[in-house]
Amino acid sequence: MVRRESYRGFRKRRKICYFCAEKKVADYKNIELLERFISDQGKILPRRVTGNCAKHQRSLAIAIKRAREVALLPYVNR
Amino acid sequence: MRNYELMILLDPNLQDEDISALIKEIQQTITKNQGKIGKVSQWGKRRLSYEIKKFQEAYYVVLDFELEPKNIANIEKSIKFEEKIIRYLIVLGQEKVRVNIEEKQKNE
Repeated sequence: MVRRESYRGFRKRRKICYFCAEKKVADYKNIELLERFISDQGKILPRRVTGNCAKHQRSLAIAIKRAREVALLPYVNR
Repeated sequence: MRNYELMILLDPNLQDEDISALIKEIQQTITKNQGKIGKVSQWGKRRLSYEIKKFQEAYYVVLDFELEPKNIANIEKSIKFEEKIIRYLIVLGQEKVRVNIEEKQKNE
């Protein structure tokens, strides 16, 4: 059987964890970086969007929550 | 001894002398509790993402220090009672975390 490249018109993009690729650890002080992983409403983007691995998504979520505590990032953005 | 990182948000209306006096005061409480003081980085005034105690902006300071874990409560207590500090955050220092990760990778 021939494996089809595309399925119903969209192709799956290969997901790469940013933190594994860059060998970085999410830090609550690095706001420019954290901002890339939140939606414009201020919500943490899910793994299916960011493509991060489970381990780094967890540490990222903690970093974002810490940044929220010290008002570096918003809890809600309206 | 453990590495800690303390972030404090200060009243933006404070004078420079008040800020440096306050930092010195915190460092003294750390040394009094057998701690070692490390790097201090002053970020200066930043807009807050949301209002805290009616303030729209705050003066950010980050202090690194080493301390016995049992003494951290003393530091926290002194910070809590300081009214010029509108918000604080104490976390384990990144460096220590990084060392742990490296050790783990070695063991694997």
